[in-house]
Amino acid sequence: MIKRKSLFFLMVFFIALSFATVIRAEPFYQGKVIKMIVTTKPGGGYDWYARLLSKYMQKYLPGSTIIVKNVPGGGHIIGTNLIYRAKPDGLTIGTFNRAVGITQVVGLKGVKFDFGKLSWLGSPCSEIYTYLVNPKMFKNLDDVLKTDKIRLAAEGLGALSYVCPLMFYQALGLENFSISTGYSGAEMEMALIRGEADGTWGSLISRQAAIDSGDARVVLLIGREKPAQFKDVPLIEEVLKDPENKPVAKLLRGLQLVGRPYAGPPGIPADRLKILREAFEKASKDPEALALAKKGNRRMDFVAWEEVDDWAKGLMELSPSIVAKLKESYGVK
Amino acid sequence: MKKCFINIPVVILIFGLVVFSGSNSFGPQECVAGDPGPIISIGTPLVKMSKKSEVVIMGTGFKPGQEISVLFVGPDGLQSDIGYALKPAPKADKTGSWITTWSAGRYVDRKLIDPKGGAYKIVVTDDEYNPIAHSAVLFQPEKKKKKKK
Repeated sequence: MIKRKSLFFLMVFFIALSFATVIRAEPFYQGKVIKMIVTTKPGGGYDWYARLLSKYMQKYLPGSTIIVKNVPGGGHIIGTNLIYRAKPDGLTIGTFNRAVGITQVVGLKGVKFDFGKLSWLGSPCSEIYTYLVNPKMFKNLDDVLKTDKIRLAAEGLGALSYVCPLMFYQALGLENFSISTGYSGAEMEMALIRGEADGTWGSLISRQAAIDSGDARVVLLIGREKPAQFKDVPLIEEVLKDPENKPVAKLLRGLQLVGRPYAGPPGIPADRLKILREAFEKASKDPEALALAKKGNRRMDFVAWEEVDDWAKGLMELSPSIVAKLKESYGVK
Repeated sequence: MKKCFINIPVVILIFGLVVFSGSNSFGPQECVAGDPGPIISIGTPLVKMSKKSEVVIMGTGFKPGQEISVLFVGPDGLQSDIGYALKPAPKADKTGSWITTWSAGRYVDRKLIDPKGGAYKIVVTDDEYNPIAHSAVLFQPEKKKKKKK
């Protein structure tokens, strides 16, 4: 009888022990605060996505709190430095302009990150970039490339609206273009409408209204896919198809493919990084988040971390000729 | 009747001891009587909503030299570290006091604050986001000027 009793209590002890293990194996993020660094001021596109993803990542990291911290300035470099140099404990992540990696490639001052070593989470969306022209002057890309001179409006050195056309024309070996800088996104569109410029480069989503109203015509696309509305418009890889130009097409396409990338510092423990990546993906695909994005006219077509990582590592291995072209785009000697 | 060898209270006791031993679920709560601790107050408790909205936030009873983070709790409960928009950067002086001004215009302009206004929570934390104190600020929409006929 005593033997049976002991055996029973031993059994109770082990069952309780297994319960205890389950209870105490709380997920790492339970009760933790995660800092989400956004390298812009609040209220813009990067901030919009960060707030949406913070809200839904909290849902998939039960018990966690995500605090959005805006760190604007330095063309996204200051905030990216902060993300890169954060303690790699899985409690700091962030988002920045996809072109910030190029600042490292061209050797801009102030860069204290190694883009290829970041712990990538992915991107909630890719972007579709377009070459927009005055519809009264040009019907298609052939017209544009044959013209004597096209005047383009851009934001400034290093901005995608400057880098993309410069790299494109350089790759084709054409010089029949000029770029005027100093415009904001909306001003570039206005410059086109007012006739100050004959063309401009910009993201499809922010130029859709001008396209729909007939104030601008899309003659070239850079992106993951060709929207049905523009099935006759070529993708950049269909134009830059010579072997020597393929790397340029790949670089420009990659810049749009990664959309709005998210990463943490290098060295986050693998198990925590896995949890973060899963939560990020689930948040990016959450039906409520997708509905909010649709309502806000924002793209949500999740890009996996592997794709972003591959692109970022590729960016660090560009050929010297492309680096030279990029340096020219950034005004770096 | 056969005597049951299972002693229910003992089973519960063993189960409880093993499961909850070492758990901090019932950890001690720190409470110092008579010490008000750090407190914050909003110098502009009613803020008219515009692109130039400013919120004055101040605190006392902090550790001298303590660095402080200020969080704004948005309409959806999401917390934002508003440090980039605080001038000067909040840091307790020798007496443990500090004062800062939050340029909240961008939050108003970009509708991160409900255009209809309302009461919002301001949380003050240490540099690791451990909450220290909180207060509320009321945002009120600006009255639209009537057009002269």
